[in-house]
Amino acid sequence: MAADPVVEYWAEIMKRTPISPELMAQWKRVMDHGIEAWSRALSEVMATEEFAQLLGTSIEQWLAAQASITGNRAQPPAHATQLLALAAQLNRIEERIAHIEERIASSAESAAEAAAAQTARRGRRRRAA
Amino acid sequence: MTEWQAELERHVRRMHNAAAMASGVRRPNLGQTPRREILAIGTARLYRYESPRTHDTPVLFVPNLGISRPYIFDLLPGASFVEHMTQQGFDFYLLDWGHFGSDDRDLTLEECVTTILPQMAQEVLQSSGARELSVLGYCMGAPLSAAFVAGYPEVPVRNFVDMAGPIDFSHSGLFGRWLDPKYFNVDRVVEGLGGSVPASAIRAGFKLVRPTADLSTYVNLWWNLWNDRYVEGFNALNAWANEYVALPGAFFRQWVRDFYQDNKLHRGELRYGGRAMRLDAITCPLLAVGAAQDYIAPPACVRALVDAVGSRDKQYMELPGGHISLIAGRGALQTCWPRVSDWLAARSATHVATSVRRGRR
Repeated sequence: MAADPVVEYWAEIMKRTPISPELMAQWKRVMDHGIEAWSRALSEVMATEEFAQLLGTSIEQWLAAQASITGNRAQPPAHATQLLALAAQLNRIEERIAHIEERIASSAESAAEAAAAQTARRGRRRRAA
Repeated sequence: MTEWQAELERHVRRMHNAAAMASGVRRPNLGQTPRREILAIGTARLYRYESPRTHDTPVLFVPNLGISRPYIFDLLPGASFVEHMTQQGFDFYLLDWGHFGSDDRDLTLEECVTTILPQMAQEVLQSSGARELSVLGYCMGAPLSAAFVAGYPEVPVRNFVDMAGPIDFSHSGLFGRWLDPKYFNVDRVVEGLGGSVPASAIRAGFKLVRPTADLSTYVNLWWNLWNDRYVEGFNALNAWANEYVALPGAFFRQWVRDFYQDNKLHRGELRYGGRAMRLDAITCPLLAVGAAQDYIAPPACVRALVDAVGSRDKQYMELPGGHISLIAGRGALQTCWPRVSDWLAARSATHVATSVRRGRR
């Protein structure tokens, strides 16, 4: 790397301090050892039957929770479908009721007309007599 | 230059490279060795790489299916296993199993071994014009290709290499423990995940097996951040390390049940397509390469292949490093690749130029 006057200046300053650049290397070594120690400890724990059982149980619980969420998520669409079907059925029932009412009304009119015609015929017969 | 001067200059470089990375890493140009696709079966692709072809015996490289992308084998110029093998004169073919979606959930391991691999091997022989081929399996690709080589003796396999491929799953480390049928119901897991094993689940599994890996990676990155070459390699490897590939559910069921739980291949009980796949049926020269710090395919798991085959010419080689460092990175160029290529070169037919052949006649 090309010499940088700023870096040279700082290097000169740092040289006068008790701090050694070896400190950075020491930091790296401490980190490496710490990570390696943690890794070994965790590996030992994860290699046990207890951990395998715990992991298996956790996976089963997660799958059950997923199934529950997926099932719940499917309910609103199912409810909406049911509602639409009910509404359609109600519409059909209402149409049938309206049709029946029309028929009743029509029958009543016919009956009334027939009754009126009969009454008129009777009246003409009495007058003739 | 004083020690402090060197350290401070490194620190300035660290700041510079950190700022460049923070502003957004341009995806490195990976997989640069020229190649041509010569066969497609479903999602699987067979690629042939350009090579001077000084060895007549082509090499079919079979990596793991799913989990990760195969460009790890052709990471960067100067740090590429594919580049090394082609430079050594091998007619090199790579089987890329591809990406899997929900439509592929019914792809079985049996189909891979009995349908895809035989067709790929046949295509290698046909396109290269060779009478025999060498098969090189890495990681999961090794037991898959071992089953194929054992079950298809009519396919002329001249040499077989297992690189970090688990064979005896009774020594498969943490994954073997966690996938014990007492605790892991593979059918429920696959059904619960929707029929496939998503990339996120695979990522979670691999992160769990080495929980301190990310911390170690970033400490090392900080320490070497002044080194442009290191940063280039880190960006390439990091891109790969964060790209996981889903597994078809049917494949995962067979992989867990037949290999991890029942250890059928090593026990001689594996049968696919009506064929017995017994390792003692493998009689060609064999090289098994294990990595001393491999926690995915521990050395004992790989070494077992040497005792199981019927080959006379067989060798186990244990190298320093882990599962990935065996196959990727500039260190592998020093430790592993030359050993593999030298072993294969000594057992591969040498290509004689056509004009020389005619002259000899």
